[in-house]
Amino acid sequence: MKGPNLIFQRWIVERFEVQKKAYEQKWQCSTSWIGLLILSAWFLFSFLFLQPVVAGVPSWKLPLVYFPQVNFAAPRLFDSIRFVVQSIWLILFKQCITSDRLYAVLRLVSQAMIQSRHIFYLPFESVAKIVGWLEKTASQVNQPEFRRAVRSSKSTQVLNYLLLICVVLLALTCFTVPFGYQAQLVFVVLLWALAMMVRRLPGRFPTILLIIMSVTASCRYLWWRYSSTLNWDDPIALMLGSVLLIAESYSWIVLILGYFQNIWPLNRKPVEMPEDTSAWPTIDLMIPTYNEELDVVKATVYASLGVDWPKEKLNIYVLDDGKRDSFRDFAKSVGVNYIRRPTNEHAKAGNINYALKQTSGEFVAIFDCDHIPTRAFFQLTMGMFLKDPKLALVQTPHHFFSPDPFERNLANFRNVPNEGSLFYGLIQDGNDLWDATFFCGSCAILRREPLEEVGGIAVETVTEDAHTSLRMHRLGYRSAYLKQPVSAGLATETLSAHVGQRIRWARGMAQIFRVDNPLTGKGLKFSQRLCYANAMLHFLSGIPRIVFLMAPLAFLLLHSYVIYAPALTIILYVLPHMIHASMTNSRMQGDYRYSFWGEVYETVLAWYIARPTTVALFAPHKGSFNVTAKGGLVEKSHYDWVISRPYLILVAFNILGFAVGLYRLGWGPQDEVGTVLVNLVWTMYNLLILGAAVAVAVEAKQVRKDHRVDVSIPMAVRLNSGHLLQAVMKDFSLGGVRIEIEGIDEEAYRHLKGQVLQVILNRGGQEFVFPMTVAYAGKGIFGMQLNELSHQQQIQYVQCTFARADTWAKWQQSYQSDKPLSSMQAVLHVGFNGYKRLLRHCPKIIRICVDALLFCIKLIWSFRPRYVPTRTLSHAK
Amino acid sequence: MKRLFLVSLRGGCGSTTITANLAQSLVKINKPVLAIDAAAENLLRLHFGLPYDESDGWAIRMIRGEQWNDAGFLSPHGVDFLPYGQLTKNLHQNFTQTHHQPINDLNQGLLEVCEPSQWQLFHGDFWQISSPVWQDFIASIDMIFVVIMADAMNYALLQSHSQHNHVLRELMDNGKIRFILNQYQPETEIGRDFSLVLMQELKTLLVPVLMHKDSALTECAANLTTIQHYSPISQAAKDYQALAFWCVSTFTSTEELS
Repeated sequence: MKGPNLIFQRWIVERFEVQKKAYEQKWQCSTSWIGLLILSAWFLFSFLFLQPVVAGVPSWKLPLVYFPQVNFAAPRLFDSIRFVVQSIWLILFKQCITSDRLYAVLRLVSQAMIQSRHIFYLPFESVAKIVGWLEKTASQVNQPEFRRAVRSSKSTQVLNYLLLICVVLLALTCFTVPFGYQAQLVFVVLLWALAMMVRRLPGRFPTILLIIMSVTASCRYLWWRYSSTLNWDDPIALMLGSVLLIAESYSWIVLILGYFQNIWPLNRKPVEMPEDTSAWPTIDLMIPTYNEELDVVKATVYASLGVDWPKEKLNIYVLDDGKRDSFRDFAKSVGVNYIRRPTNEHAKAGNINYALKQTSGEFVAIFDCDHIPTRAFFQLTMGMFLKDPKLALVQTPHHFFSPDPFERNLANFRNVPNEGSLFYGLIQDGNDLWDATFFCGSCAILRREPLEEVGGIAVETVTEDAHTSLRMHRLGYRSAYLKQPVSAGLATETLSAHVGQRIRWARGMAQIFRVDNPLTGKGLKFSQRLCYANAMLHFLSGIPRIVFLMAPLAFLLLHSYVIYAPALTIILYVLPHMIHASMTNSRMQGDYRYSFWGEVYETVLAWYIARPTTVALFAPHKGSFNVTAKGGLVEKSHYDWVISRPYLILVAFNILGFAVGLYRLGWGPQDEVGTVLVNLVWTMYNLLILGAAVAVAVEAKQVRKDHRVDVSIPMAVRLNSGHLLQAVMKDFSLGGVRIEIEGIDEEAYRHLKGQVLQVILNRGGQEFVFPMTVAYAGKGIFGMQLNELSHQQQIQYVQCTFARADTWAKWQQSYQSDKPLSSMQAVLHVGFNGYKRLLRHCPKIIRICVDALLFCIKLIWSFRPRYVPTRTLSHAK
Repeated sequence: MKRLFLVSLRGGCGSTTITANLAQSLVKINKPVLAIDAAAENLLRLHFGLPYDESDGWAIRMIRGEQWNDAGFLSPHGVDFLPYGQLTKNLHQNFTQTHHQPINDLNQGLLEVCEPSQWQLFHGDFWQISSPVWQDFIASIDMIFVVIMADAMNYALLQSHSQHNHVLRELMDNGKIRFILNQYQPETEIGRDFSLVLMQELKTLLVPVLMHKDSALTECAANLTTIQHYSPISQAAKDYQALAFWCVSTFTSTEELS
């Protein structure tokens, strides 16, 4: 600043420099010449005419405080407008602090909330005691002698029927009585308060109470919809309204059936085997394979060789439909049997049927080629067969040690229970109570006589497994489900493979519905029919889900009242229905599925299972069997446009509807504002769920082929010098392990890299040693790669890693319980992020448009005037 | 007071190492420990940092007629120990002839002196178990530990002793003996096989903690210290900690039962 040096004294110029630096620091930029001009003018003005300190602030700093959004050092294009807006704001509006008052109000509100929460838990202790007494009496009632006495005496039967009629009449009255606004509000609030009080009580009776309340709310809702919300005058609205109503009835049926099915999960315990091993039966362990790679099957074969069962009573068969010599040679070298059939008809079912003719064990255990059985598999399951001669099937869960597409692409692995855990954790257990557990194709044991009696595995449908167990149930055989993760396998790799698998299941279930309807035909008990019907109904959810996703658009775009009722009534009826269903499901399913994730899973599959199920319902024999691909590698992170096309179309429609809704809100008729708002909120919710569906299609890149399983198991490493170090195994895979050793100094890392060390793993009190090469060494972590192992060593390695039962059991216990509100927040967050990630993969032009739009919005937002608190100006020094 | 007596089935099985390192492990979990070397080889002191030239010990003191407890030492890492003393051959012959019950005198003295919560680990030789002179001492011991290795020689010797050595047989039947499998090498097939055989045959008499072979153990003796301070990251340190815990839990439970 040479110029001012000529005019002013040095100390003035230095002061100006300091002040200018303060302005520059605020905006992290250097002064432009306009800024220099403005700043110099202001400094001069404040130096000459203003007091040094004005209202607690040094006067040269005043612009910084009063115009925080204007950059004086380097003024931008619209800063003058901002300056004008802010000045008008400062002149016209008082900037005094109301925060004291605001603070007081906030504190009052939070206190009120805490107090109300206390009220909800008020009678906790005494009610919990009453509930405990009730449950004890109920379990006493379950004794067989009491039941027989009840069934025989006539008076109790009459009493039971009278009670039933009373309850039904009461229920019908409750559901159908029409309420005005106030009455409905009071009813809803009371119901909600009762539910909030009951939902944290432990035990089964609170669950039943919650179910009753949810059934009440939902039945009232449905009755109200049927009786007073259809618009009979307008044909389009009538048609669309009926479609929506049918979809809602479907979800109501599924809700009620779900309650009935899962009201009392059986939680079966394993039965002990007899001491004398000569009484133990022979088992044929079959591993059907078609186009999977040898590595995947090797692990399963090695694990089967290590299973705990007398060697002479266990026969292992590899059923190779791919006719590969490498498999045959491997089977021969390891010592297992190999069956190759001449034809390829009926895929896996035909493969197993052919093998059934060639074998003769009393029991048949079927494992998919990537499902690794743990050592204790037969010990835990065969006891039930010996105890019950009419038991034809024992099914165990399909547990996955690799993440499925949802978990991988949304980074949920082991944080949120995956999609299958609801079925294998709760639904099959509920089925088990009604003796309706069905065969799931793998990780199960079947008794040979019933299987041969029904003619082997069924070939008429694509889900041959469920059909086979249906046939066995018809003949009067029983089935059991053991909820222990005694085997672990690979989940589907990509979203398209996952969707393909679900399409096959959906089509198959619909085919069974047509070909061998469980609701008709003899041999099944009523409860079994309902359970099978529920399983089938689950797969019909495609069309209703799409209807729900498009429903608000009917009003927003077409302006037809599909729900012919005022907005307030809709809220008063819909909200309790949804809240109670969510609360009850959260309590019943909380350990196996977090709230609102079900919506995401259903949305992703909705489009794809809609068509095959409809086709299969009308023409069951059309459509082909497509095998699920397993073990492939995702080369590069990419967006699966093919799979997500339907969702993107839905997203586009919803965005359009949202925009039209905003227009209606601003410029439409005034009396519709409530309805528009309700539909807008619904559309926003749909958009966020669709966002989560969109997010799943962003395939994350998979770096290595071998799947790694995270664990924390103590082990030891023998160095070449003879030292034995303690270590912790952090993860394992088929190719090697990653271990953590403490206390090694820096140069030892360099020295150890590339060496072959002896890794000592233990299992069941025995230790096994594997030579491994150090591939990576640093910061306490060593990446070890397995060297060539003999077959015996391979068996031992799989036994020490994948076939350990305790690893999978620990995973199941590590999930936290469900919290509905935070789960909803997580889902919505995922949805929002889904759009961001979609944008990243979009073609350039859309990105440019969106960026431009965001830029405009930010620009307009920056014009807003800022609030300058006067009381805190003393801090601005 | 818990009194343990550790011997090796054959020379070189490692009872000296085990006594010293077990004593150190017990000190690490805050138990008061006294390690007494009752073997004439006098090697226990090397693990406790006693200089090689120091020849003091309870036997030498007894020969000279002095107080034997003056020969007590404290290792740099907190273990009290009582070495045997470097005896020449003559001194040794004199000692065993004149004081034909030296161990009993020592035993009596120890019982009088020590505190009730102390762990006393005696290290001796295998022949002392069946020697008639030592029977009173053996009777006052809570548990005898015989250290064995998983190989053919040890197995054969164990078989012949259990058949012909009546004292040993009686002690095994009364459950007063336990066997510790030492220098276990899971890399060798013979190590794995013999360990399985021994587990099968000895059942509960075999201590469930297997002590692995680790060259750090030989190194730490050369360094006149114990494994916990020489190489705390080694598996051997972890094994000794497990052994110490096993001892504590076994003896606490037997105390509560009786």
